[in-house]
Amino acid sequence: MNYQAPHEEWLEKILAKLSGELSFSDLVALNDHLTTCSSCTEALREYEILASHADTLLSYQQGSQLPARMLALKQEIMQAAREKQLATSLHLTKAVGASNRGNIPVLLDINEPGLRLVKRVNPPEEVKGWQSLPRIIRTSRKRLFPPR
Amino acid sequence: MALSLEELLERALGGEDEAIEHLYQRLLRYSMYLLKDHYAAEEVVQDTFEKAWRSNPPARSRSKSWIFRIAHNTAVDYIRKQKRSLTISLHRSEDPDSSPIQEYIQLKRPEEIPDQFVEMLEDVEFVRRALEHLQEPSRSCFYLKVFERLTLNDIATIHQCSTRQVQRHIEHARHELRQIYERVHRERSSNQ
Repeated sequence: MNYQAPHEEWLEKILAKLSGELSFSDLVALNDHLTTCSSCTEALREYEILASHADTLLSYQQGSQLPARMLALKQEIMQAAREKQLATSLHLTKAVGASNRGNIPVLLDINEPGLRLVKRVNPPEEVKGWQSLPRIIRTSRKRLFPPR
Repeated sequence: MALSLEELLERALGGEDEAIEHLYQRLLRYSMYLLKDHYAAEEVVQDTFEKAWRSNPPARSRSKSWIFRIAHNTAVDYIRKQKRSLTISLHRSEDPDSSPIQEYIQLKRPEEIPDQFVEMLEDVEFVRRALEHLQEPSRSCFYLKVFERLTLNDIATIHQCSTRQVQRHIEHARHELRQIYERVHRERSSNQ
């Protein structure tokens, strides 16, 4: 059978049906139209067959080797997720941190990406009311307290 | 793991090991269709992950197409940096004997090639190979709609065009698949 273009106004609904976005009333209207239109029926049939290959074409092969840079990034993402989870479990939004160049206490936003939790320390005396907080190291520092 | 793209993205950015690998493979396939070069596609996907991870806006403000938009733009930037034309890079140099569809014809016995286009579409191997012959932006629009099931609006955002244009690109791809089928059919007949 030669190619027959579907009606443009119905093509939108045919494509919406593929991704399950069609409302019930539009679905009824489309089905009504399809009873009288062979080109739109053919288009829908072909698109549905093609869409049925999605699982095969997008299949996920478990344990495939990620490139080195991606592995490092994955570690970073997973580490940050663990730290964020810990911070959430401690109900913390702020933490006492130390700079990379010595023990300069800094106040950090725990939700900021790129923080690395090292161990817990006692907070400096200036930070009143803080009980026991994670000690954190990060590369970019926000100094809130001057060096002692 | 049968997850929606939103769930997959959420889990991947939340540090779930398997979700990261799965999303990586999904983006790699899309980038491969765009760039036709495994090394370039890997670079683009790693950059995409890095950008997504660094920005990582709250889930509520992300659209379904967010990660694909980053991947698409990163691929376009990559092509610009390589000083290659998008149109040229998106078309494999067609050696008639080594094109994916020619390989398909050589692999199949004549009686294995159906007489009807709609039956041919049932063969995933034909579809996989024929996709490589589609032209941009039809291929990308078609891929995102039919396989990744993004909305027309999402694809229009990625391609920075109207939904009506996206719709035409997708339909053009279906038309191109039919032409590829006719070519296979002609060659089958001439081989008999």
